[in-house]
Amino acid sequence: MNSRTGSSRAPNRKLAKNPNRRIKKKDQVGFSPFLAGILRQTGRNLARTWTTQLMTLLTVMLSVLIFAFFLLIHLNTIAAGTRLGEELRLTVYLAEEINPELQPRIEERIRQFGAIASVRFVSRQQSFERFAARLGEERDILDDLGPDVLPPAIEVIPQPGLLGLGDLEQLAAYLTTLPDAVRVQYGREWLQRFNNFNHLLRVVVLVSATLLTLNLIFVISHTIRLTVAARREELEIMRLLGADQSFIRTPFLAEGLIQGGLGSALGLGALMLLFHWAVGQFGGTGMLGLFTLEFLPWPLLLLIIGAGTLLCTASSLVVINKSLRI
Amino acid sequence: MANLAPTTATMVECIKLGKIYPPDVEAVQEVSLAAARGEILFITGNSGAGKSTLLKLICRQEIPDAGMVIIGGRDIARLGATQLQRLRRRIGVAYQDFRLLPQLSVLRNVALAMEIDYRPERKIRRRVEELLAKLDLADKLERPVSELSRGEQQRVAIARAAANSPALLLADEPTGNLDEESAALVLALFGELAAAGGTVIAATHDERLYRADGHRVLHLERGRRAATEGAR
Repeated sequence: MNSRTGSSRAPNRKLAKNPNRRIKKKDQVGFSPFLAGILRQTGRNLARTWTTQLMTLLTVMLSVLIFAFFLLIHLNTIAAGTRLGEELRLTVYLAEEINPELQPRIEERIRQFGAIASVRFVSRQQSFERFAARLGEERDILDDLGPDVLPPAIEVIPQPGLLGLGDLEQLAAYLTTLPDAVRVQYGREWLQRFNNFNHLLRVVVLVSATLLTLNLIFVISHTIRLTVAARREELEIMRLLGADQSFIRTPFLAEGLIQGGLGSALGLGALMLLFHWAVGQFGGTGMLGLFTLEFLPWPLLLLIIGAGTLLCTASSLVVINKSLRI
Repeated sequence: MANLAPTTATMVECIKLGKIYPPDVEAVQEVSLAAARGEILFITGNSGAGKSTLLKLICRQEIPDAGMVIIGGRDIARLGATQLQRLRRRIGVAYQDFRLLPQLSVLRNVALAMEIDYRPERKIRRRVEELLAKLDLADKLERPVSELSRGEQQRVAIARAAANSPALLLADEPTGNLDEESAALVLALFGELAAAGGTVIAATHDERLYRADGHRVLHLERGRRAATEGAR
């Protein structure tokens, strides 16, 4: 007797001791037959309404693509803003140079505002040398001029947390109260535009997420309703044959799950292709030297796919509960 | 659970069953019957006598307005949704209008009853092939049902009803579209199921079926039980 025969006899000995075991075993549904049955039904669903399914898949894909596109821009803008914030400085132009002995007191007064990373005093001479260095080969135009043409200044670098436009305006107003302060420059208008753009993007991302979520719910619900309608007779026959809730409902849930998961993944895949194409077209990820473009991080990609899958599956569940009352 | 284990000799018992269709069509009136395990019972009568309605009441496709149906010792009116689903998986029904899925193959139509019962694909395939061979449909395995004749479709419906080796098989006019040879195959299949302990109740006009082998025959007239032939 081989080992296979021996192993197949073991359950029979147990059955002989406990006849009820046969009944219990019969009521258990093996994972494989259950899965095979569900997969076959799901395949039938998809095949029967494949044009609708394809349109739904494309809609899910486009919805995720549009949402992820805005999210990508928004996150890159935030990242760019953070990088620019690290380089942000307020320049206080002075009427007269501050005596080096007074500088610690002035610095102490500036730091009293709080959230100041560093304070640097720039003399007329330093300003002149810096300007000359910036001119490079054309520095000879300064030959007839002396350092007096440029004002002395104090460069104030706020801590990275102090990025709000309101905070910067308060700091600028505070700095104008310093002795001999003539003007405070920090690119207020540019910052205001950047802040407005960022705010607009945040609104666009939220609105697009809301609208596209509603769109997904509508499209998935509609598709499941169509599938249920197309298979009404078959479902009726299944009920008459004694199909349980799992057998009837799970394929529709699987349909929502596939549409959500696959549609989201394809949408993000399309965005990734677009991103790499755009980066290749417009000169690398360090676009114009201003921005370092980065694609959405993997955890976020997985979160979007998970959310898309969950949303579509939940929509299917709601429609199934309404449409398939036995 | 709808347990159809052999606790009594009686498989199906109908007690004073009544069914009225709106507005006031009395399809079945005070019909009582009992069918034992291993028995083939024929229900005969003219069109509109209530044969099909009686079968629908037994498998709870229709709900009676009066009386009760007891299957395997249990009043089926008291079964919950899940228990009713399990019961239906143990009852094979061959409908008069076949209730097949025309776009699917013969294999998948017959297999559906077994898929619903979560049988492994290997066993499904073997059983379907066995049944189709018995009903002379072996060469039609992969053909869509829509391409079959009425007689072939009827045999597919009977094969599906018999697929799970049901404890109770209900057949409504099972030979309505069949020639003598095919009808004999169907009767032989019913005989096999009965010999294995199953109960077969068939509503029919076909004398070839119920005159053979001295089976019990219950005759209905205008929804009422008019006569019974045969032993019991």
